[in-house]
Amino acid sequence: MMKAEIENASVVVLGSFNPAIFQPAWFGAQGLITGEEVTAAKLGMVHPEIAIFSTAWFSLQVTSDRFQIETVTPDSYPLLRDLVTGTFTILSQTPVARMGLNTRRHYRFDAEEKWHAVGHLLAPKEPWAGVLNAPGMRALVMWGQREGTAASKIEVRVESESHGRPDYRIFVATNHDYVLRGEGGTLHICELITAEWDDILAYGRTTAESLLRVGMP
Amino acid sequence: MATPSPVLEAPPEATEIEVSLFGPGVGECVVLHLGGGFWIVVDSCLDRTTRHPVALEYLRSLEVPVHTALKRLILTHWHDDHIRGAAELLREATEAQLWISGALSSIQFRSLVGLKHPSGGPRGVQEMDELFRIMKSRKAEGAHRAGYNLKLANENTPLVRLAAPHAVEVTSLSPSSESTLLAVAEFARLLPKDAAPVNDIRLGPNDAAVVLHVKVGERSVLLGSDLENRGDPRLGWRAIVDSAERPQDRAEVFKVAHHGSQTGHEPNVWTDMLVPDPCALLTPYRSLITPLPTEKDISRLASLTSKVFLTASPRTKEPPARSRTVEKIVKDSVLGRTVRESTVGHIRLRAPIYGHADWRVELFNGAYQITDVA
Amino acid sequence: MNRHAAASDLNARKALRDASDAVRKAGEGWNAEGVVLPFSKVSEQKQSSMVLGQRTTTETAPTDIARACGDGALQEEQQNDTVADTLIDAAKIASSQRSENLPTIRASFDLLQQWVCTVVSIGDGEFVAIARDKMNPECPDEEVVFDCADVNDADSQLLEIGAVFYWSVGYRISEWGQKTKGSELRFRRLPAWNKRELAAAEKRAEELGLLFVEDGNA
Repeated sequence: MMKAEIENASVVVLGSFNPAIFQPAWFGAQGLITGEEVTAAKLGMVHPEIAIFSTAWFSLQVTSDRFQIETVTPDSYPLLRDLVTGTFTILSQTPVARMGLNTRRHYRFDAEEKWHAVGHLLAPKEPWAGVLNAPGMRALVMWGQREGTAASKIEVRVESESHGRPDYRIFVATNHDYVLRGEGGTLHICELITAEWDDILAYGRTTAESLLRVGMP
Repeated sequence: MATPSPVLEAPPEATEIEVSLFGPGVGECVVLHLGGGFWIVVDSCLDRTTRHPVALEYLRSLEVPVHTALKRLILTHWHDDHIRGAAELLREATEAQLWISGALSSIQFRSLVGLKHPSGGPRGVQEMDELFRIMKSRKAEGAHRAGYNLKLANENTPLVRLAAPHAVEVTSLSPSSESTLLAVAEFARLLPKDAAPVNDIRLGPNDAAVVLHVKVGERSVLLGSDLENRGDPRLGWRAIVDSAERPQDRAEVFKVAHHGSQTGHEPNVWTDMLVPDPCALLTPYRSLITPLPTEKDISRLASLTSKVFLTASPRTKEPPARSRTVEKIVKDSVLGRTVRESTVGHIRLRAPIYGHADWRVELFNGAYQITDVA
Repeated sequence: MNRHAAASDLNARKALRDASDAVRKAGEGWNAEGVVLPFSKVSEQKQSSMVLGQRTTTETAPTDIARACGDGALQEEQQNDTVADTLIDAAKIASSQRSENLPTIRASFDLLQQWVCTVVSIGDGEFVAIARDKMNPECPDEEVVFDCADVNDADSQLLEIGAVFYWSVGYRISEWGQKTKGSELRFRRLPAWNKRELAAAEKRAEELGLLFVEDGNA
């Protein structure tokens, strides 16, 4: 089975935040990251309206209504879950409304025809006859639901990203969208991410492998 | 005496008692047929391959209608290796009473269960949480029908009393009041304090463990759980042996306590509670730190009876091979490594409820009899 | 949700728009009001596919953004009404311009196998943990002995009975792509128990107590 060239996972929470809090030093003081990570953190933005920084294994962006954290190192996936759990355990009074648990996997195909095969499978060309010459799938987004998750909606996106170069790349992204409890929303975040994190990561992988299977060895 | 039987799926006769002990290396479960299609399960462990409780899989293989025929699920204590899969089993056994140690009704234990552990928490506690949820939901549905409750086992508590078609008495012999107090104090110690780190619970001694005496017709069985001695006559095995209220019938089959360990051994159990040369069944506990039973434990058991059976070898097994690269890195990175569980070994004993015919012993999936101990 | 004061919002947007212009010009790193914006190695992969009311924030391909940028589509992108989107878009644009020249992005650790482990004993410079296979849950638990010296200095005070850590095995990849076999231990970091959580546990314990109020129970 073809391995993803790059993969990442992220958590997005919509709510009401004070970006000024979300500095590396704060996370270090809470014991959520190490002193070395605090020291080595790269600050992106220090502004009352937005906080951005990154460490060796995660990057964080917080605005007044959005908290977003991601990692591109799969060995850090459980740590990301712990970091989100820890953050919202400490900031238990933060008003929060929605959460997204997201995965993204990038694949490179070693032959053009395999790359095209995916497009042919997911977006048949026949309906486009007379509309476009040489149609090709650029991006496909599907919404739906599935059993065994508390997510109210799941979105799956498949997108070609050839960058105009002669290599053949496609990424598959999944988003699980959760509506949080009005009261105890942060506790709800912790419960959901504890219960579903491993599942959504596995779902991201199996979904990508399933959708791209025609192009895989 | 013990011969491997190819017919695992053959159910017992209605007039037969069965004692089946399952053990995969770490984990234990006893399935008993008390005659007339009346089944009970004591403790639970998982089949690692299917990830389902072994008791459920076994009963289904015998085509036993679990939802009606399984009458008691008895959990002798809350440690991981004796409780995995119990919730799934209870969900299927819709007419079963759930029996737990009286010590687990304490607010201290309930607080341990009530903790919202960020990553789920210790598996034994998670399983208890799920069991409580099931019972809560049954209670809410109005399942107060006789026998559908959550019950507490303490010393000399009757768990089953039947007179027909034959006499059946299942009695818990522990925990004693003093053992319960000790167990509750242990639970209180395990409860985290304010500002304590969020770690998994460190398991303590098995003071709350439930020992069972099973009498069916003329047959008696003693299930020793993981009860250990504490050097105090009011606690552990000493309290049981010295009790004037306990059933006096001597057991022919003994599920040896605490994996045959020295701390689980009480000589007076063998002299006062068992027939001479009983069948002694035990499961191992595979560990690099404290593997049980030790060679010394096996020698001791072999000196007490000629019929010692183990569900699986206590010797550590090689871990499953992963890719060569992974194995190379792991080998270079660690100082030692062993696998805890393997195929679930099964010792099955059957005998007619009345009469004194020998127990028929069958061994499956690597279970074996101890012979030729030096 | 709180909203910015209108004036503060406008000032912030102007500052960020100026900054994003600088980003576009510079292509990497920028100084706007003394702030340096680093480029996450993987900023082209930022994913923010949340649906919020009528607004859908979705990732678009870096090449499209790069093209759109030249066509003034940044203006179009600025129909989003939060400061964050402007900056994030700016980051996307900048990263897209960089990504054309960057080598293939790689993770710093190519994971082959991972376990979640619980420490069960410590002594003589070694500690023993029960390891549960995270990637193959059907595999049996293992008992593993580690050298205490293999614990990072930053995590050493976390090493105690009951502590949980993640054991990862794979290839470490250096900045220039050099691969070396590696094993890493990273301890779980969670905030300590607090009074609120302990009180909630007690409350739940009291509710569970109702289960034991039953006819005939001890």
